[in-house]
Amino acid sequence: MDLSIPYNGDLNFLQILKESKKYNIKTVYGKRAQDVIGGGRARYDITGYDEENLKKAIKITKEMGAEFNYLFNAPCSANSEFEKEKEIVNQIEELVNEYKIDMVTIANPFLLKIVKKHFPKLKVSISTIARVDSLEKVLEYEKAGADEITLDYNIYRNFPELKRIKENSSINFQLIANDGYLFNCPWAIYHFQLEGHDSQLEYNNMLRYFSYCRFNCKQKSAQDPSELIRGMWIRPEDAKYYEEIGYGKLKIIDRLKETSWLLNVVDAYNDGKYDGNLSDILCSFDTFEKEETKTPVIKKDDICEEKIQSLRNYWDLKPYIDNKKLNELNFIDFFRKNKTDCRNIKCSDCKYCEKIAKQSVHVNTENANNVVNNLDIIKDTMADLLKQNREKINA
Amino acid sequence: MNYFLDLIPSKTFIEELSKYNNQNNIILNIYIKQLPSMNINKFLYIDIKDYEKIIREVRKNDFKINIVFDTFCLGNKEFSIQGREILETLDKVMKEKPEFVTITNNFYYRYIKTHYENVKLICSEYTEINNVQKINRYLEDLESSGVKLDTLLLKDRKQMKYISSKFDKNNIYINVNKRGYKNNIYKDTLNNNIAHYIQKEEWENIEKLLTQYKKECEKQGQQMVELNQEDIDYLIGLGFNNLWYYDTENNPDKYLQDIQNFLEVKTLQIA
Repeated sequence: MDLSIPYNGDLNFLQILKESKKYNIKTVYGKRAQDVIGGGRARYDITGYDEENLKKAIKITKEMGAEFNYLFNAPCSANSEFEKEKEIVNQIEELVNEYKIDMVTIANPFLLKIVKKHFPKLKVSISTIARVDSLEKVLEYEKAGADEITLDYNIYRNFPELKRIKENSSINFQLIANDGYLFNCPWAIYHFQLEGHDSQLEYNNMLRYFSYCRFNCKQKSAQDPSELIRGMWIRPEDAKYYEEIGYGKLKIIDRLKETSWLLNVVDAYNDGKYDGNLSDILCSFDTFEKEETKTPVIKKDDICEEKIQSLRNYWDLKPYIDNKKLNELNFIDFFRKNKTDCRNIKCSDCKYCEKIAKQSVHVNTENANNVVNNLDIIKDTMADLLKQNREKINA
Repeated sequence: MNYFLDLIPSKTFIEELSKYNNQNNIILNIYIKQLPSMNINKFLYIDIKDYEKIIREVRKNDFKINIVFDTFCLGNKEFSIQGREILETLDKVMKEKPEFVTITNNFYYRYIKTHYENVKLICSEYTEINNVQKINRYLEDLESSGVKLDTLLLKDRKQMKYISSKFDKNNIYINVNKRGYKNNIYKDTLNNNIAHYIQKEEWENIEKLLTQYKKECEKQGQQMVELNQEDIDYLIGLGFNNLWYYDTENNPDKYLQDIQNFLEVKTLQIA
């Protein structure tokens, strides 16, 4: 299985991967915290690395025989693809000529035209943010000159559609291995827009970003543990079934994680197995080498805009997803054999994920309840803070 | 049957339409400049300072109100000074107790839900409600009062039959005369672009964008999708009773005529 690896700013991470020689790393991906187009993560999330660091990262990537993929995958550029074409071209030109990137990832088909027009040899990968979820959309991107597509999460367990796509197109694909994304998430589009705009240069004057959508997602998972099973992750043990139908490249996420965490994930997918808690390797959670502690109850007075990112203890869910149990239950077989598209039926008519969750997911009930209540208070307080902060913003 | 019709902000329009309000349950879609929407007809937008006056006229004729605040992207303004102004405008608008608000933005959705109890929140088609799972997410998980369905889904009779059996039809809203391209890779981008141009009031750029977009789609051989009369009849036959009829041509007299035809015989005037 080929892997696409995130660059988290730690050169040592890439050195370890390079020196071990046991991983099939095809791509390393990364980006600056902010640029003219933006990406899939807010700048406040990224610890940031300087230009020299980025250049060294690209150099090590090439030394390990991989390509460096620079991300320009914000879904909305507020019309800069029409108004700032020159600036966009200049930025890409610098990355191609000076930094020697091999590929860009985009989510906007108008940007695809710009890249192909000015940089015909530069490879273009279409982001999952573009929500390519059908053969017809795949063929449109193929016609438009894209080289690779990361398919939309919501079809990862739709084996008939995945097969249909692979059999009828000649473009390269990758699937995201380890996101605990909610199936058909109602906040997904908004989430990508918020993160994308925050990572654009134009948005320097905004208030400190907070991950409103992630709060909702956490809350939903805390309320209903079967959401943890419905999440569109691919277990290391199940990757071979995707490879069998032609999906031989997995993208590991994400760029915000520490090196030790990422190495654990890379090893799991390289080895094709993971013993223990599956949420250790899913990027939505922070359970790897962490003890579960009691989730405190938040008070409204604890919340202020400056501290919002440090309130994680109040909304961090630490589930235990028993991966060994999922093996015993042959978890993926239902989806491999099933002809139904999960998008077209109510979960309450099927209940497969609910049944699996009852046997394999363990969540501390008191902590889960506190997460739900805390997040309600946090979300509502943010709106109040916006109203109150006018004098502070104007100062 | 409930009819959601765009309010053309003129006394004549309101009075003419009021003749139909006894036999039909008409809800007027109101577009406010300071609460961005996706409607590209700039003549529908009213300024917040004229809002109360218009609402008085609307209420005098016993119409219900739907505030359309369905912009696809606010560019993170919600967390800035402009966001505070939007909240103030929203509070002002909600004082008049509209019966419905149609919305896309999750942040304002939550704000309205927690601060205003008696309003029905409809999730707009820009939230991409194009399958059963999404309907479930919004109606059950987010406890929305209603969802407007994507046109592609409306054309899928098998799915619509399933939906009619699984969900309360009173919570499903149908765009009667909206069109779009099938499997279109430009859709999200176009919605983002339009949202930002409307907020900057760059109406001429919207025209240019739509021309370019149409050219791209036709070059790719994309198929236009819209409801025809048989589709409407089928959906009404299944029991769906919330119909939304847009003003697509910025021609008030024609719109009034089209509405009258539609209210009388449920017949579309297909251009």
